[in-house]
Amino acid sequence: MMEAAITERREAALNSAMRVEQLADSLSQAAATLHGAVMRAIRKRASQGENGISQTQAQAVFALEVALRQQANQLYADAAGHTVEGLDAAQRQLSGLLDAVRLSIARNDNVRHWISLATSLLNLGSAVIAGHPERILASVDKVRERLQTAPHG
Amino acid sequence: MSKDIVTSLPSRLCIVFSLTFALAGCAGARPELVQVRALAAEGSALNAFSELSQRHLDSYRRSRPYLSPQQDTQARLLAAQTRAAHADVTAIVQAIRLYLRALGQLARDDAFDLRKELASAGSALRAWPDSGINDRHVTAYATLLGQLSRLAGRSSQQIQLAQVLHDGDAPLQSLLEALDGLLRLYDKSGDNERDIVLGLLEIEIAYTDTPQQRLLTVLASSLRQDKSEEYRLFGLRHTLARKQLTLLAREHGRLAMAITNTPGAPP
Repeated sequence: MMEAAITERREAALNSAMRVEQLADSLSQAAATLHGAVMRAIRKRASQGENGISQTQAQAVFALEVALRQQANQLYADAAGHTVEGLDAAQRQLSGLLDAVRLSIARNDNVRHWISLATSLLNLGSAVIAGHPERILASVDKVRERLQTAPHG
Repeated sequence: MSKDIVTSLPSRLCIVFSLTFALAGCAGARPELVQVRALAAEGSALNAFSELSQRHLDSYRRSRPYLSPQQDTQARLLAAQTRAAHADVTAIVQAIRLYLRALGQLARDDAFDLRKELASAGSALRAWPDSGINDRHVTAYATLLGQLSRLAGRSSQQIQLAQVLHDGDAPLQSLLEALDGLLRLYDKSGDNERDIVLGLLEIEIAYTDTPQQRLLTVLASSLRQDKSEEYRLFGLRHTLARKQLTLLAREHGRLAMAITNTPGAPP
C-alpha cells in the first residue's frame, strides 16, 4: 500500500514535470520564431530605407523574445523541481542498503577475528603439549592481545 | 560421542584436507567482482553531471551583462530558486555516490577473503601432535572454522552482492533517470541562455555599421564567435553526460541480472 502510494506520487510528479516542460518548449519555440522574424526584418531594412525596422523597434521585439525565454526557463526550473519530487523513498532505500553493506563487512571482520583467536588457542595448545616454554609465552601474549581487540557485538 | 572416530589420525587428516579444499575454493579469478568494482569506480557520469549542474547554477552570472534592469530582476529570482533546488539535486548525487562506493567495498577481493586466517588455522591444526590429548577440542575448532568459512566466505559474498545489486537496482534507476531528466532541462535552459546572449549580440552588431564603430563591430563579432563555440561545446557535453548516465544505469541493471542468475545466488 505504502509502495503504491509512493509510486503514484512519483508518477504524478513526473507527469507534471512533462506538462510543464512541454509548455516551456512551446514558449522557447515561439521565441525562436520571433527572433527569425526580427532578423529577417533587419536584413531587409537596407532596401526599405525609412520604412525599415529601427534599432529601437528591433530592441523592443528582442525584449519580448527575452521575456519568452525567461518565462520558459522559469518553467524548466519548475519542471526540474517536479523531477526531483518524490525521490526521497528511492534515496532512503539506497541509504538503507549502505547500512546493510556496512553490517555485512563488519560481521565478516568478526568472523575473521574469531578464526584468528581460535588459531591462537590452537597454537597455545600445541605449544603446551610440545613443552616449548618460549612458544607458550609468545602464544599467551598473542591470545591476550587478540582478546583485548575483540570486537563487541 | 564416538571418541575413537574423532581422535583417529585419518579423521584428523580429513579435517585438514577439507580445510585445504575450502581454501582452494577461494582462489581463482572472479569476473563478476571485477565488473562490479569497475562499475563502482566509474565516476565519470556523476562527475559530468555535477559539473553541468554547477554550470546551470552559474547561468545568472553569465547572462547578467546582457540583461536589462527589468530582465535582471526576473533572472535574479530564478537564480535564487535554482540555488534553493540545488541542495536536493546534490543529495541525490551523493546518495548514488555513496551507494556505488559501498558496492565497490562489498566487491573487494579481500572483503570476504578468509584464506590467510584459514591457512594459519590449518597449520595450527597440523601442528598438534597425535597424542590424543584434547583432540575433541581440535575437532570442535575445525568444525567451527568450517562453519565460519561457509558463513563468511566466497559464496556469502556472492549472495550479499546479489542481494544489494537486486535491491538497489530500482531506486538507483529512478535516481539516475531523474538526473537524466534534469540534464535535459538544464540543456534546454542553457539553449535559452545562449539565445539571449547571442541574440543580443546579433541584433546590436547589425546596427553597429558606421566606419566609426568599426572597432566595436570587430570586438562584438569576436565575442559572439567565442560565446557561440562555448555554448556549442557545452551542448555536446550535455549529450555525452546523458549517454554516460544511461550506460551506468544499464550496466547496473545488467550486473544485477547476471549475478542474480549465477548458480548459488538468491533470486
